Formats: sequence, C-alpha cells, structure tokens
Amino acid sequence: MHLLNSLRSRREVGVLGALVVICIFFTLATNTFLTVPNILNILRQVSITGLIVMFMTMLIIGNDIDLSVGSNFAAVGMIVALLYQDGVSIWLASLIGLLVGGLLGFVNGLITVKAALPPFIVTLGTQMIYRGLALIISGGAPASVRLPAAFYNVTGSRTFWNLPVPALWFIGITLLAAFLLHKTSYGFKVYATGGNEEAARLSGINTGRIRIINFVLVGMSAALAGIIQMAYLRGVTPTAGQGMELMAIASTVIGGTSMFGGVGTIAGSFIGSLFMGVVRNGLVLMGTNAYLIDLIIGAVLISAVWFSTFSTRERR
Amino acid sequence: MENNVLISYQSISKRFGGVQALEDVSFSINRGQIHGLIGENGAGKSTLIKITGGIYIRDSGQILWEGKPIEVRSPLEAERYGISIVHQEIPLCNNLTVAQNVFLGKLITNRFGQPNWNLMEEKTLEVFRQIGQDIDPRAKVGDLSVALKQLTAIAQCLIRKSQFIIMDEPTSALTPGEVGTLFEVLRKLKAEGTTIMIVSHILSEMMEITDRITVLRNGRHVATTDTADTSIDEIVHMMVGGITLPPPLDTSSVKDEVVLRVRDLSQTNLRLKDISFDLHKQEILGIAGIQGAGRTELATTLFGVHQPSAGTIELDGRPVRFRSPREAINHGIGYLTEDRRNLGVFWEMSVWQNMSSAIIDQLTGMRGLLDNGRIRQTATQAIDQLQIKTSGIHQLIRYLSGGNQQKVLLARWLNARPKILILDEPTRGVDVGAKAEIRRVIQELAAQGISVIVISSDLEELLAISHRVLVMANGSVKGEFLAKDVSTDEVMALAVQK
Repeated sequence: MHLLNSLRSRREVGVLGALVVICIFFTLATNTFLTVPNILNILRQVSITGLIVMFMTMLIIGNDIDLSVGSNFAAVGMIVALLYQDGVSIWLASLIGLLVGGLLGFVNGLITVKAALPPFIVTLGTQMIYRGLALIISGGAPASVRLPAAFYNVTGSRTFWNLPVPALWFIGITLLAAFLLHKTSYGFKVYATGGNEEAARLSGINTGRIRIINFVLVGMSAALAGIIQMAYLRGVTPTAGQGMELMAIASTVIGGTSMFGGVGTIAGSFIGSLFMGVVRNGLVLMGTNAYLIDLIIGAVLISAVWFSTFSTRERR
Repeated sequence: MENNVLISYQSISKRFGGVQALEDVSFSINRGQIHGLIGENGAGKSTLIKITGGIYIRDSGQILWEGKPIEVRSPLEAERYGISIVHQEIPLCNNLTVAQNVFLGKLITNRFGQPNWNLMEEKTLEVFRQIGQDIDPRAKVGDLSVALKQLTAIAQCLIRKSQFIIMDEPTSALTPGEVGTLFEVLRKLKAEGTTIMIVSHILSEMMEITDRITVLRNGRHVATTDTADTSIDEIVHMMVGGITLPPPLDTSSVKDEVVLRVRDLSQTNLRLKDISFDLHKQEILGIAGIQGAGRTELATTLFGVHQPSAGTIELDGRPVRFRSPREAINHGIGYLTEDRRNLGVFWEMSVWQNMSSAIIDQLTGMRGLLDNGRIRQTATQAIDQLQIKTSGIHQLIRYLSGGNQQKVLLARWLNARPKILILDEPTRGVDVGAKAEIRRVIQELAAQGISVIVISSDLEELLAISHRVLVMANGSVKGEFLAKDVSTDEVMALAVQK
C-alpha cells in the first residue's frame, strides 16, 4: 500500500504507463513492431540522442538548459574526423574530441554562471557559434572516414549477439548518470541547486561549481554522441544534429523532469527517450505518411506530458 | 439564533498521506461577527481555510452555507458564494497599479472591450473610503507597504462583494500602528454586515478584535466560545494542552572565553557601520532592533554571504575572512535564515534531504557515495530530538506545518555541529508550543558548549532566552545589556532612535 502510494506519486510511472499503452497499440497494429530486431533497432535509434538526454536531465534538474548540444555534437564529430584524416590516431583524436566537447560545455557554464546570464540565451548564442565552428573547420563539406576495425567495434558496430554498440553505450551512460545523480552527494547538490539555489548556497553548496560541472558533463556527452555517430555513419556532416537539443529536452520532459528545476529522474528520462523512439518507429512501421510523423509526435509529446502530470497530480 | 449562522462545519476530516490534518471538526460562524481561529502550527487551521476556499477538497463531513449543504471545489466556486481568502503572502501583481489589482479579473470595459481605468480608479478610491482609508489608485503595488497591500487585497474582496472574508495571519508583518488601522477597517466591515474569520498566533490581538474564538489542536476541535467568556491563559491552555516553559536563564554557565570577536566591522553596501562585540563560549547573545536595523545583514556578513568592507572578525583569537558560506560552515558557523520560504526550504525535497544539505559531504562513504544508513540514523535522531511531526524521513517537507518545517531547518544546522549558531527570527510564524520547544533547544545547545546568536523582533522572547542583548539601529550597535538587567521598554527606546 505504502509502496503503491509512493509509486503513484512518481511521474515516471505515468510515462511508463503511456509507453506500455503505446507499445501494445503498435504491437496490435503491426506485425513487425514486437520483434527482437525491431526492438534493437529502436534502442539504436534513440541511443545517440539518448547519450545527451541523461546529462541534459541532470542539467535541467539543476535549473539550467543547453541548446548548443547539437552544434557541439557536429563540431566534435568534425574535429575528430579531420584530425583522423590528418593522420592522428583515432583514439587520441577521440580523446581530444571529448575534451573539446567538455571545453565547449565549460564555456557555456562559465558565461552562464559568472556573467549571470540566462542559460537559454547563452546557449542559443553558442549554438550558432559552435555550428559556425563546425562549418568553418570543414569548409562546409562532409568528411568521411575509414576507421580501424578495433575502434569501429567498440563504437559503431553491431556486436555480441547482434547488439548495436551505440545502444550499449546508451545503457552504460544511463547507469553512470543514474549512479551519479541518485547515489552520490554530487547528485544531491544538483537537486538542491535546482530546487532553491539560494538555500543551497546558504547550506554551503558551491552552486556555481555544480552548474558549471553540469554544463561540462552535458558537453562531453554531446561529444561522445558525436564520435559514436561519426563511427556508425563512417563520416560526419557539419550540419548534423540540428534540432537534437529539442529532442533531448523533449525526452527529458516526457520523463517527468520539471523545467523549473529540482525535479526529475534518470529512469524517467530513459523511459522518455524510449517513448520518443517507439512512437517514431511505430508510425513508420504503420506506413504513416512521412510528412505526418512530426505532427503526430508533437501531439503525442504534449499528451504524454499531460497524461503523466495529470495521473500523478496531487490529489487535494 | 439558528438563522444567525452563516457557515457551519460539520464533522470535517482531511488526511494528507500519513498525517490526519483535520478530524471530525464541527463548529459554526455567525453572520456579521469576527471569528478567531486559533491553534498551533499543524493544528489544521490552514487546511480548514483551504477547504473553505475550495483549494483543498475535504475527505468527509459537510459544510452548510446559510443552512444548505454546499460543495466548494475551486476558488472560483468559493467566490460565487462570496467567500474570499486574504492569504499571508498576498498574491498581487507588483507590476500593476492598485486599481488594476483591485479590478483584476473584474475589469470594467466599454462597448469595445477597452478598460475604463478612470472609472475603476474612482471606484477604488470609493472602496478605500468605505473602509476609511486613503490611497493613490495609480501607485504601483510593488512600491506599497505590506499593510497597504493587505488593504488592496481587502478592497479586492469588497469589489467582489464577498460576504465572508478569511484572513490568514494578517498582522504578522505589520507594525503596531498598522495593526490598529487594520482592526479599524475590520470593525467597519463588520458593522456593514461582512463576516470575517481571522487566523493568528497573537492572542492579545485576537482577544481585542474577535467576537468568538475557535481553538483547534492536532486537527481536532477543542472549543468554540465567545471571546468575552475566555482569557488568554485559558486559550493557551486549550492550544497546547499544558506545556511548561523552562526556568529563566542562569548566566553563571557562560564562560569568559571569547569565541567570536568582531571589531569595527563595516559593510558599505549593507550600511553596517563600526560594529564591535564579543560572543562568549556557551553564551546566548540576543540582537534586538526594528526592521532595517541591519541585524540580518550583520548575520549574513558573519556567515560569509557578504564581504566586510572594513573591520575584523576573529574566531578563537584568529582573524578570519570568509569568502562563502561554505568557508564559514567549515569554521563551525551555522546560520538559520529568517526567510524560511525563499532562502531555507527545498520545497521538492524530503525531510531528510532538507536536514542534510549542509553536511551532505559528511554523509558519504567512498567516492561521494551516499551512506543511507548514516543518513537514516542522523535524520531519525534529529526528528526525535526536536519532536518533529512527520510521517517519516522521506516525507516531502512541504507537507509539514510551518513550525515543523522550521524545526527541520534547525536540524539542518544542529547536524552541522557548529561552534557558533546564528538564528535569525527562529520563532517567527511559529506557534506557542513550537516556540517553547525551540527555546528549550537553544538553551540546551548553549549548555552543550555552543555559542548562539539570536535575532528576534519579539523583544519579550529575546530578553527571556538571551544572556546578553545587543541593540542595533541604522546599521550600528546602539547598546549592550545583560538581559536580566533591562526592560523591553529600554531596549525599544534605543532601537527606534535615529
């Protein structure tokens, strides 16, 4: 009874319910939805954005937001590809890429915190700056790479029992983020900072540092996503990842994270990511007109958030 | 008598999770009277108000309005019956004018839907005159005093033709003069037939203004009686069911050893000027003063929120300079904020989380991993020690009453095991029972070797719980007394001097 009550009050349970309902619907409506290859396919499709979703969740719980992740994703993918083309080892190039991603996040955090500007504005600006960076270093042209098998096997390929490696990364990063957010004092401080920054500061929490670290983490996750996508596609375009930030934010919000900060879970965001993937995949399998899909997903997004907040709203 | 009853509560019950907020509460309020609702924090006053105003829905029982059962499911429905609530934190739009606020949602427009501000400003003046007050209807509400905001809210009720106005702690933020004005207004409203229910902790005021009084305790109805037939002592007894206050302070326990020495401390932006004082080991030092005297500013400067522009702070004989609250905490200083709502509570967090925010790094094992065993132990201990009423350590703090929220914040600082604890208005908005308990805790802390600085606007309380008192005015210390040697009048005289 107590467990049931505590479950009811958790928003991710609402979206889990919505996910189950929609899965049953697609299972009945198509022959191919509930098959192992298709499930693996969905996992792979959501994995690239999903890598970013986890740390976007942490950032939003800390009451910040990052609109530059899509540009960061493209810029880092491009940097790694160009370094590799210039003869740098792909391992070293990837390490540099991760550091650059972290640095771009650090710049976002530093400006947001030290200049006390709204993160929405700062990262809207850096979204364009980082995109410009990707375009300048590439001259606007796509880059393709022939990666060594050892690297490809741990980033882009399908491996053990035909599992897509990007999906494994996604699950691994989810577990890492869940550990960090829910089991450590760092996670506690993120919730405190997002819930009431002044009270957190008066409790001796260095809220500026927490927020900057959150930006660095989301920047590095965007970089990781960029590298894995580059490996999977064996190339990168400087215009990749446009709109990715909105998909990441949508998945986070569907999973029950509050845009006002202080509320949300990694489990919810994992379910939210799957939800977005399942809807798109199911609609495609049903043969829905491609032009209609975005329209339907938008409507589903609103309904899902409404459903999950409605079903768990405080009963007065 | 029966047709005199405006609203009658019959066996009202309401439960939140594991907490029974109201149980089988029945009483009635007569038309055209001022009715006082009294009880400690957590007694169920707020819940009853919110049920009346349609913000909460009762679990069982009935509300009779003029003898007929009614269902109030939303504030809008309450308004239709003529029920209005003037909340403690008055929800007005600070960016709009008085007239715009008064007519919010009830705009008078011409045929083309354009608002007729001249007419509305006129009517605003009229309503204020009706309650014997003068105001500039074009003044921005954000620039008004709390008292005038409150009158604006009352004017809103009058425009909506409310028959029943509920006021939640209307006097807690007012000066004595403003309280007098408010009471005049309430008497005028009563004379015109409006029924009023007031919730307040300040019993002397309740004795002055109300016709009848209802006392709640632990969600149950204790008594409803004519004010003339009872006394403050009797009401206190009904509220708390008999709590004895601790004996007066024994100053012999204070050590000579100085733990905190402040010399010529100034902070230009906060207008603190040349503040010097000592704090002894095991001493309770009260700081008296009126709003704006600089007490909170002094406390936050000592706590590292602000940097002093001149002067020295010595801790155990060593000069210190804190650049952040963290550094102050690391040096054994704790600060309980006066603004619980905005600067204290993490509203989305649980009881244990709110208790642990200052010591979270100490509640971890290897690599920052939270230690659930220690967390549970620390939190349970604090709940026992401070007798916090909660259904458990995982209960969200916002479901606790104000007094219990304050105890949770106090626990936050006790958990940090400070050498010096600064308590800023620790008993503000807290009921008699919780006040006594907080007072007991402060004395226990001093006995255990902690030095305490208490800031309070309640002079009687301050003199009762302190060994020594500093009086501040205009950012400076104006006087220093042993608490047992000074009267409230002497302190107040210093506090209000220019």
